[in-house]
Amino acid sequence: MKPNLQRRIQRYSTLYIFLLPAIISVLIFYYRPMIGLIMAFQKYDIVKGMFDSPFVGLENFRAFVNDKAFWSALRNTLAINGLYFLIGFPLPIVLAIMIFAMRDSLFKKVTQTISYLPHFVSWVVIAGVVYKLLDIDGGIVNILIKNLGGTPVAFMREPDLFWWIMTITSIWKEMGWNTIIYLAALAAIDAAQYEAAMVDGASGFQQLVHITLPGLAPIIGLMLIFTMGSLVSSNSAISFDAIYNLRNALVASRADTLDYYIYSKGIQGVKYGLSTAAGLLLSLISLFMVLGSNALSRRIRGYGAF
Amino acid sequence: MTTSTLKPRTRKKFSPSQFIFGLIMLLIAIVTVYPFWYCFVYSFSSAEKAAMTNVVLWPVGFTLDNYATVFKMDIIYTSTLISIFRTVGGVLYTSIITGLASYAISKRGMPGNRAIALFLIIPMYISGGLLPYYVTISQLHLFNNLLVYILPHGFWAFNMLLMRTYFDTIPPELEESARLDGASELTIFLKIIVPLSMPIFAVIAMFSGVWQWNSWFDAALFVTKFELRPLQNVLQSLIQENTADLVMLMQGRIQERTVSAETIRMTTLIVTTLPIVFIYPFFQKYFIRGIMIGAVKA
Repeated sequence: MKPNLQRRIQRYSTLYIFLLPAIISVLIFYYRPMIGLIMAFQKYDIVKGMFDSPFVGLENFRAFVNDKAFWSALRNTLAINGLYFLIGFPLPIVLAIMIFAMRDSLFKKVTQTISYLPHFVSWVVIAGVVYKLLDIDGGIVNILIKNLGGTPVAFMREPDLFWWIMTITSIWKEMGWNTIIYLAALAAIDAAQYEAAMVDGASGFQQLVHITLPGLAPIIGLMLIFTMGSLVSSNSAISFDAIYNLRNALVASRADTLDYYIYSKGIQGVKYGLSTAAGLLLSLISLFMVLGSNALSRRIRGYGAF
Repeated sequence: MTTSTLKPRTRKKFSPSQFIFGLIMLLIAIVTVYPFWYCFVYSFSSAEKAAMTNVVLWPVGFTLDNYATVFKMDIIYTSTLISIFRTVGGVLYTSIITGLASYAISKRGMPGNRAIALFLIIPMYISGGLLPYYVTISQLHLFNNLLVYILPHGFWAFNMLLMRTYFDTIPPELEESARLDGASELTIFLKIIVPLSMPIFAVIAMFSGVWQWNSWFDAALFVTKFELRPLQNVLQSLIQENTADLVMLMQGRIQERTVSAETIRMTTLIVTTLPIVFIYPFFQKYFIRGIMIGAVKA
């Protein structure tokens, strides 16, 4: 070791100790499970454990590819996330532009603050609220339908409605919160640009197209990368949390996503190998999509998120 | 939109677009609040009356019996204590580990800094997945152990990146002069960095606190003893369990006709949500700051 390096390490010795708790924590709770990925290639035996269970090659992968429930879960994942992406991605942008155009007032501040609130409420609570509101007898939505002369709908027992209920609930929960990042970007646009535009007699619409949208483009691109990258991962907008709490046995055919498949096969069905294999595939696809969309953005816009 | 201007401060007079925007925001606020309000008034309604007439805006047959019943349930007490324990414990543990690590990582001259940072950041992108994590927790004997709520969540790289960004804004001269006076790194961290960084500690504490209060999945996976589970899980059982089980769970406490499984559900739901609503006004200035720093980072 060069004396210079040694001196520098000594100088920073306390700081290495500062890092130790984080390193140990990450090793135990993040890296150690990664070793467990070998279960994906084993016929896992709880008694024998990770290191003595027999290897079975790709048997576990074959097993879930031949499982109809896996494909149904994949379809549900893509459908729900796709719906959320189509509707839930543009809405906060529109809303943020609108909020930014509003005159500052107490009313604006209060309504804005209220719109962030559901983000902080747990999915357990949200599911309780949704089930109550959509209840077939006594739920306020069905009361409304009855008063308007319609027939009550058993919303939470109807598989065909689940994708929509999930999407709308997620949008309702996160839309206000998702405006914050766009509002931050809007606030960073140089006010002089708007003043110059008004002097030149540009209409509000012209200002929107020529100043606001170009100003927002980088952050929209960035959010697009994050969203695309997480379309199939467990970090997606439609989280396992949301599915687990909103689903029930009657709508399972449309509600169970890949996350839920992995959970139910592994934890409830005790198929450790198969569940790990499906999880490995899922996390590889999502890693690929994050890196892929980032590379795409690098090519199109000249820079990526990292 | 065509008649409006996107720079509102320079306009004072009434414009139709401002009116429409206000109307939309009002609608959003109502749609956001009403579902919670509905559950809130339901929890103050008499079960008997609520079954006969519709609850819409105000409680029907106003009663406090639902709350009296819920607060008599032992499980509500124990689970609330567990929730408080995991929230307070989790926030302290995360703040300490993240604070120390972020401070070290913000020192770019430290040999191996980049490699260690990479090592800490990789788990943001790659994970072992559910089953390997489950097996790990079981091998660590954390099943039915309250520490399972806190230990695994001590460190998450995103928090470190937020904090490092904040530490980078602190003028280095402050530390340098203390260092010349012979202060140790720990003294500098505790006496200079931490007091100057309360806003970012508040951001991290808020995010991890809300996350802890709202968590239930770890308890569902690793904690089979009912009395060791947090409030969210109790609410979840009340919602998912069918009514007969619920009556069992309440140990035959439904004697009043003012109380039913449904009103008990709504009451517990409100009890679970209220702490968030109460703390919300205090932390709302912090999350915007957190997002801003996060956006700068990205």
